Amino acid sequence: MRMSKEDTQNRDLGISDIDKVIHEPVRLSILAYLYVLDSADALFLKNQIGLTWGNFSTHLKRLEDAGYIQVQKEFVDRKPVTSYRLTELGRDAFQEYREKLSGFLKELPE
Amino acid sequence: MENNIDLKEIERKAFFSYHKDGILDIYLGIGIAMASSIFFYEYSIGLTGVVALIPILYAASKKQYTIPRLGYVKFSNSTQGRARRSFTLALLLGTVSAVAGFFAFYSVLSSGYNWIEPFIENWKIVIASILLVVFSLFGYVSELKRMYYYAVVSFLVFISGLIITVSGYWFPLILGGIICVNGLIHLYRFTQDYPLEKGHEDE
Repeated sequence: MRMSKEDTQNRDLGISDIDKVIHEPVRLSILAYLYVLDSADALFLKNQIGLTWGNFSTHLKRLEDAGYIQVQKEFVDRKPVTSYRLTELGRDAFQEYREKLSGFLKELPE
Repeated sequence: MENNIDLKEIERKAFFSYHKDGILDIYLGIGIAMASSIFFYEYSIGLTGVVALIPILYAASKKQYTIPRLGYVKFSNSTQGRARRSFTLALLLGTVSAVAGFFAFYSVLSSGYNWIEPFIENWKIVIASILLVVFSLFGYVSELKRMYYYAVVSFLVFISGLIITVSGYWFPLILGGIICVNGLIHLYRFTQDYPLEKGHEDE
């Protein structure tokens, strides 16, 4: 398969292997919050990130499908709560993403 | 996009949003008004029982107002540790101050020691200084900036007693009232910022 001009440029810059699942503002924010929290439900994450519901659940599903977050269903004061927690895979992927991005940006001239 | 994702700031934002509701202030104000008034108004001693209920009422209020609006969250151990340290410090300092106050008061009554008399005579300055230190420490440990404001307000309320002549029990009542009203303002803003949402769970 022939590589596009854009792919070639990205490879040259060393960012072609950056995780596209994480490299999206909403998903990146969700992962950042879950990285510092033990767990949180969708309402808390939505309020923190400052979004409307829109396709927020689609982003959560995308992260869940990638195995980066896991859904927990529990009862808190006899009420069902669906919360999200970062998986080990998600934690590692987020760390790797930070390192790659930070390394790439550091190399840029002032 | 920024070079570095500020995770500390994200954690702080999440932690402070949980305490933006003013519920802590409301119960703190009620607690001060009730607990402190026993020093000045003997009939209110029964209210100390109500003070013991405050942690239970605080937790119930959080479940009633905060979680349905802000969402459910479990903080990491380090953040929980900070909350626990703040609470323990406040409890410890409050208890030490109360016990020291009682001890000083009864030691003077029973044994006639006079070393404590200057403290008793200048009780407004003593309490103003204790509250200034307690609230400042609470603010420092919890990183809740409004605790510093309460430290200054407490100091001013009790020091104003050097100029204004009113019965002693008014000072904790006024201080508790100010903190409580500030808490209610925060709660009102919180309910405006985070209105109740229904039917989002399945989206």
